[in-house]
Amino acid sequence: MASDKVTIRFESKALTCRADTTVAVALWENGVRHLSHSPKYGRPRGVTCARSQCTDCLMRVDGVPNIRVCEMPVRPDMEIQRQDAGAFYGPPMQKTLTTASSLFPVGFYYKWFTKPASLSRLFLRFIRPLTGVGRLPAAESTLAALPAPGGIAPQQASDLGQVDTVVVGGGPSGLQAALAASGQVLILDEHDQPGGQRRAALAAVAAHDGWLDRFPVLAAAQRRCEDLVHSFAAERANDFQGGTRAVAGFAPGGLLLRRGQELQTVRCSHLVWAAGGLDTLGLFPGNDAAGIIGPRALYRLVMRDGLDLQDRHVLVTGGGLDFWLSAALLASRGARVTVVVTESGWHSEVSAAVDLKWQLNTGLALASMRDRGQQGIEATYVPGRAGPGSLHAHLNLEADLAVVCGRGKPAYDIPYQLGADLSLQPELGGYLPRGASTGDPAGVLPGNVSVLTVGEAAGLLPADQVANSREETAS
Amino acid sequence: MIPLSQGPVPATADAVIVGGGINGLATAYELAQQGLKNIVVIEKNYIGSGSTGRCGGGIRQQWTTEENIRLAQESVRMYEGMSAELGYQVFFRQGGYLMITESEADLPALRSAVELQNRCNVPTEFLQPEDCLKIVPDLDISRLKGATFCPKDGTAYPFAVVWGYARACHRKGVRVFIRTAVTGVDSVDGRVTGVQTDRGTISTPLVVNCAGPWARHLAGLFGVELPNRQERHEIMVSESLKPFLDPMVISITDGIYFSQSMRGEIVGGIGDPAEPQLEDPRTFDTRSQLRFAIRFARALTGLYPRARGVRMMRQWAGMYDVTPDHRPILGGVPGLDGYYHICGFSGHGFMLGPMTGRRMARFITTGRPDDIIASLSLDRFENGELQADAFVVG
Amino acid sequence: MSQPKVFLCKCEDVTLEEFREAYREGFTELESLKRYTGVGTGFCQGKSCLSESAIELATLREVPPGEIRLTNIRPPAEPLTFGQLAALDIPDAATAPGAEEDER
Repeated sequence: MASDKVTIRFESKALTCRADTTVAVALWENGVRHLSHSPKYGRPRGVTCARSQCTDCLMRVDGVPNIRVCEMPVRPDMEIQRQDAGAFYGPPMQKTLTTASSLFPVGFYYKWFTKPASLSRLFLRFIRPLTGVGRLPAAESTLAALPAPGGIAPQQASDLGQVDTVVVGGGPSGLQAALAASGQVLILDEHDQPGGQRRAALAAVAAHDGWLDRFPVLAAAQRRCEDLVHSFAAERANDFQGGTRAVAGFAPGGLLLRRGQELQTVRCSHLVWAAGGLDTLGLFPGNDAAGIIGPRALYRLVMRDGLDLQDRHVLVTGGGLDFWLSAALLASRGARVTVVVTESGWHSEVSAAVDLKWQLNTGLALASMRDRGQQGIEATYVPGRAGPGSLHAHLNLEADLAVVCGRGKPAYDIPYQLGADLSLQPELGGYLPRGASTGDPAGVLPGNVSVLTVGEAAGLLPADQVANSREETAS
Repeated sequence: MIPLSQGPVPATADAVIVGGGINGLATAYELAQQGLKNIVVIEKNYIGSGSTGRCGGGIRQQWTTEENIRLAQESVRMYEGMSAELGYQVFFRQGGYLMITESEADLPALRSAVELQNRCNVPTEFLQPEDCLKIVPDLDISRLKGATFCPKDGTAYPFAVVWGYARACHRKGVRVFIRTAVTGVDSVDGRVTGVQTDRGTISTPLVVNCAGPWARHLAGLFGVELPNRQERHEIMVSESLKPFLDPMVISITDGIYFSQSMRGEIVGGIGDPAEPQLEDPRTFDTRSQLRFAIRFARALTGLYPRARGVRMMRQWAGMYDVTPDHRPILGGVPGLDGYYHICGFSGHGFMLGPMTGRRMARFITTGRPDDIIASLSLDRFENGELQADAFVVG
Repeated sequence: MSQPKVFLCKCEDVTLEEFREAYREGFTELESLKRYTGVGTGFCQGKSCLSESAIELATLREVPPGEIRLTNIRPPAEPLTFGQLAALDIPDAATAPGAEEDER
């Protein structure tokens, strides 16, 4: 899609990029995939979560430290720098640090250099300057000049007042909850339109003639999503506020929200948490390599930020709805997709993939992620039991990106801050709010605010959808 | 290794310490140093889970009564040698404490405090506002009227201290039980005979109450009435930045305190006069309040404008175990042999705990009178000899 | 390159092996493990790693995951600057007596 181009500066190099994208994507498309280096081992990290959740894309932007560039829109003449001395952590130093790591066991700094007292003091003076990530911003910080979420100009929060029910999350589960609720409802979502974090990706796949029919799991998800969006539009269209993220939950039962550049507060009697899941880190050797992302990050990078993956080689592995949606989305964008299929039962989908000439791989070996001009990081996938959330095969393929579709983690942080009751329930897929499976409130807070969690935050849709949604429980 | 025992508690012990925070662990260690053998520490959650693990880690000598100054001075000396003694790094950094005021009316008290501290050989200086810039270059001194600075004050990392003491306890044969709660106590004819827990009963002639906010409840089980109440305080931590702030800064005007940790984060809090005192620690709400975040941010950016662009990462809450004169309660009680308490530190347990643990251990095992313990005993509240300190902050 | 590492926490570079080593040293609670290894204390405050840490600890302790006491999640979910916070209106003190004792 055509758009204006702008020039930004990355460590004294001028780069050209689209005007309507993020810094992370702009850098990626210009071959800059390593955005930061990890604190202890100096390992290169790149875009991972694409929603300001993790630490991997922290860079210095226009002199301001610790900016997550994955959600920082580009502006002409922006200055972007790595925060650590990237050259210091070149491949030889990185290898050294990693190899030497066995000399530095966990907690070594508590046990070494403790006696005599003078040595202990010297040790503290030595390590103190090594701590810290960014530098203190300048007195008149330009942070306020940077758009959110990196920076927001100080302002008063506007108050949305008291609402009967606030639904956080406008995906299928949230829409369902909003339709079922009586009284006033305010439904919030970070996207501009209801439908949730997969809707745009599903629509992109649906635009390819006949693809949805070949992938029943995607067809079912898309139908349900669109049906709910239409019902919602008919009944409660005005109750939707897009472009909004919950920033914090402060007792009792108050939410601090961010809508674009504005902060808002709201209070409610019932809080429905349908914020979906977050990508989690798959646990396999080499899992921190730049270029290993989760499916939700892929949807954001491609649909929200316009990441151009034409002719790029992308691996997709894992299981569940996101596995096929990621693969289909990538193929629809002209990427060269390698799908690693290990789960039994996806027969029709597998045939469809073969028909569409997607490259399938079930082999064994090592995978390497190769950044232009920099040494690759080797990743070994450990074979496990076939099933959602575990990684199944060894791969030996060079790729620009690997989408690992494992177990999602419910985005429970804010209900927990508000005092909701949480526990691990592995039979439902992992880590969940109490009461999720039975529809009981996850907590009742002072002021009688009840917190109910549904959808991916609970590992499942409301009960009547569960039977139809094998892919949801697998997510 | 820090083995923290789980499983049934022993049937007998020479001493049972209730509370696995700074006071319980330091006291247990010191009792072991005095030669006591069969010592058990009971902690209902994990070690450091109470007030110790939630505090800001400050250690200062700038007090206004000679007694407090002496105690704090001994504490600082202990902290200076603690990593070497415990064989565990506690990250005690002596960046100093800068105590500032925006009110002329405080200056006489500050000056006389400095004189008193100097007489006790504490190297505090009285500073004019512009002198503060040499210590904290970007401080906004426009409203300051005066300050004091002691370069030997500092901060340590609470969990490192807790783990260090726990390891040292283990080396000395002390057994620490976590996730173990006291459910009752036994005494006969004015002598302590045992402690009941949810993992069994321990017969013991000696119980030391180091239960912090729950000290009053535990004392009550023995029929001892403590005047302690709990106060809720919040504290926060910022993102990690390269070192830029050396001392702990305290304002006695608005009650803010903040310092930069060894990890590069600003750690700090501010007192809130609107927080009610709690009668029962079970009503303690650990959830964070937006009110605290805003009040702290205003006070911080008012004193240190460059912090405007620094991000707050996390805020949490803890309890102070507060007495009417904000000074600890040490010693035993008449009519109940074998019972001692070390509590009521009113927000200063971390800095004074190691020292009070040492003095109490000597007092308990040798019986020799200790003037500080005598002056901080429970009966001072009946006798009306209350001497409050002027500098209680946070 | 030596044996590739499995990272549990990318913010603080804590590997699975280090987490297990800390457990063997006697840190058996998630709160202590968090402070000792650094898991969950970085910029993401545990969003990427907390679930996996809890499940790993359950495996190490050989207990059902539901028995693991989770670490306390604290606001804000997105870091706010002190400048932003200072510009907001101060709410009245919350009066919320009667909250149950919090084990966290």
